[in-house]
Amino acid sequence: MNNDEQHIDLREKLLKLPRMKARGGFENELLRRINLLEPVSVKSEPGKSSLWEMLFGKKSLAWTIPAVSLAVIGIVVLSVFLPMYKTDDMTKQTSELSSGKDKLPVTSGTLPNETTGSSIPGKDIVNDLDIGKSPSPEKKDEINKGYNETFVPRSTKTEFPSNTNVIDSRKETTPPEKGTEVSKNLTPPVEIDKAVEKPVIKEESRIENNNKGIEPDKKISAPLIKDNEKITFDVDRNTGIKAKEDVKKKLAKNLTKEILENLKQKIIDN
Amino acid sequence: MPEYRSNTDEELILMFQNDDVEAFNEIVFRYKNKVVNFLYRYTGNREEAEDLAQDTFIKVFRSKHLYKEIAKFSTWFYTIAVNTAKTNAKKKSRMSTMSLSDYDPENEKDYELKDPGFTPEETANAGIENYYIQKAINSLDEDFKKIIILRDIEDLDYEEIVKITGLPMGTVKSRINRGREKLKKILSDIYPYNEK
Repeated sequence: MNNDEQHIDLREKLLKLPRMKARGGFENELLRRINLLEPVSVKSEPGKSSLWEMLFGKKSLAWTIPAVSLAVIGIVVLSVFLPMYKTDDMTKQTSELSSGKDKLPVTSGTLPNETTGSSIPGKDIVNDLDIGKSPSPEKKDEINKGYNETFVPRSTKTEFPSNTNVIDSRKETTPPEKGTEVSKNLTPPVEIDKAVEKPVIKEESRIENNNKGIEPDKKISAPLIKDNEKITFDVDRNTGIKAKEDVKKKLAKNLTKEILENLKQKIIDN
Repeated sequence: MPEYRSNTDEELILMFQNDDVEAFNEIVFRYKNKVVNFLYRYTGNREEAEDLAQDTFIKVFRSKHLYKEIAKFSTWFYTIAVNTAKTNAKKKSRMSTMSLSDYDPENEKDYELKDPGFTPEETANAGIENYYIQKAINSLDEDFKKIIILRDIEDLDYEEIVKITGLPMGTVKSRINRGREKLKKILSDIYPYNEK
């Protein structure tokens, strides 16, 4: 049996109930209320749009919440991890530099071991001097020749300590005592210095010129070389100069002996 | 307004959506008695029913853009009316709770029972039986009351009630059945001239 049929008597009673009708002034009253409400509603609409309602109200911009939160998280992550990443890179670089893996090629002074066998003329001689190895006898002769042509020995040179570098030794040079016979025969210290300095300058300028010839675009300047490398470069350069100095001293000793012998013979002859 | 008489409810609301105020007047003309009757049976008070009916029309006026053609206009309209009635009932229950909590035994005037809202004239016109029927409807729970009114007084079909209330068909049917049984029981208890 259907629900409606089951309670048909009650349903009939309910359907027969008198229908209420709206009063005569219903429409006018409604119109009045609408006219009253309309300006209020227009005014209240902008007031409603508070931040809270915009985010969580019925007409909410709920989709913006995850987007904004993701953006904020992204910014925070970048701001935190980017500096960390940079510092890691820096530490890696410094460790690599300290281990000597990423050394830049040295353009002047001592050349790295990789370039020792290069075909640049005159480089081999310098490298031999730099490394501190004793040069081969043939090269020794060449060096001696070169120094003999330009070098004028000085007696005072032998008195310098072996560990002093060229620049310091120049400053520390004391002029020879006047009146002594030995000093009369010797060239003045300034001239000797110039004479001694010439081959070194020649060699350095030759290397620089050769490097310029290989890589004309690269300018050899201090900013290209990092501080760490600079230090190593200076050390190597000093050692190279020291080696040169040692050779010079040996040569000077030999020469002074010869001169002394010559002087002795002259004195004896007189 | 005679040119609007031939239009359906759905056409009228679409015309009103296009700022045709005359179409809204036609809607008011068609639905004012229906909604007043529904709300009167729901509240049991004529003045309150008329106020709520006006509130319903104001809501229609303000939220005309929310109506979509997929539903019948009557369904949408009754949904607004039911929600307005429910909101009013909640307000009333809150008010009554407050007045009870503020009850002062020395001043018993503050304690007021629910006013059925029937004037002697109305009672005379509707008849004694109708008076008791309305009293029985008023005493029903909200869930049963609105469904009984929509089905047995407004004579809406089950499909429409399902759409208005948002309840499943089975729930609607069972509530109508249980509501009728409750109403019968209440009537048999309160109606003194009941045939046994």
